[in-house]
Amino acid sequence: MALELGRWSLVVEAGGAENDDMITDTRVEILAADECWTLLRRSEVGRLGVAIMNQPDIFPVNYVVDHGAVVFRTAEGTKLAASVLGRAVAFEIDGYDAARGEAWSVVVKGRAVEIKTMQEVFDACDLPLFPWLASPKPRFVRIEPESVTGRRFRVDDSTASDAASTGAHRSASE
Amino acid sequence: MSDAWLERLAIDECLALLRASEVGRIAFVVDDFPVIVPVNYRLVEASGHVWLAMRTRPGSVIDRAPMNVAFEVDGIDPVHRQGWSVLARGTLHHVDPDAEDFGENFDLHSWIRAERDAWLVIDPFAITGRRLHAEELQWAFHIRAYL
Repeated sequence: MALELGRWSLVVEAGGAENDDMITDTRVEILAADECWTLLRRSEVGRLGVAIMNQPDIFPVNYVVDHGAVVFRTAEGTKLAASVLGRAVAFEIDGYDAARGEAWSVVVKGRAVEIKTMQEVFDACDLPLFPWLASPKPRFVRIEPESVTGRRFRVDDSTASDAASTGAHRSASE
Repeated sequence: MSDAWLERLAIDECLALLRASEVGRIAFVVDDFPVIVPVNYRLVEASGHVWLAMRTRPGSVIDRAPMNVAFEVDGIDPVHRQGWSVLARGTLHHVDPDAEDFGENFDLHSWIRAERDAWLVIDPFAITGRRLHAEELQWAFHIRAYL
């Protein structure tokens, strides 16, 4: 029971790593931008963090990377469309590499911009996004990245076996 | 268009999923910008109330977070196009592990106590969840689930 904190016991340090004084934490490896984008291209589902006034919200969305930006789809009149268009958003993916005993997370911060021109919409329609509920007015949203940050955490051996069992479906999904 | 393929989860099922998970993502707003951070957590249950407890370092971004937070856990399998997610909205509070009633309210014997830890709990005012089923070809987390 003493080790039930589990595979992500270092993840809480991830938040701390945004402090300058924490960047030197040797247990946290800062990922280069190209590695962040590689991880972003490999994943399919992320979590979109939005702010409405001072109330935060999180939406899981499936997405693709296209022309150096995260693209997802929503529908006219939805809460998501109202929440994100033209606003600053944070987009997060994370995962666990059981073979290497490492967990990682990537966060894209940027502004959510609706894809509006006809050519842009046609291009977006060709993206391999899962079809969302059929909507008469689907909307494509692109997050124009202002920053992309990624971190990798080593998971110590004593928690690795626990992580392998609980993380099995997660690593497959992320 | 029907939402029938999207199952809205009852609160008991949401709590069971929160109980079974260890990693979630906490979101809050700093200077009008949303921040989203993965975090280790525990569902703490006492006297019919639930909290989401987290441990972090004093001064970390989570430790300095404002009161209004959202918290999400999910288990999503894009290969089989099924999954679930649970979203909690609530307020973030600092707790003192040395307080006399702390042990009564929070079962911490299974956590690793380390020095310089800051303990926080989310007191949720709303918990919602949904599940997607494999037989649905048109898979997606649709936003209507949140409305």
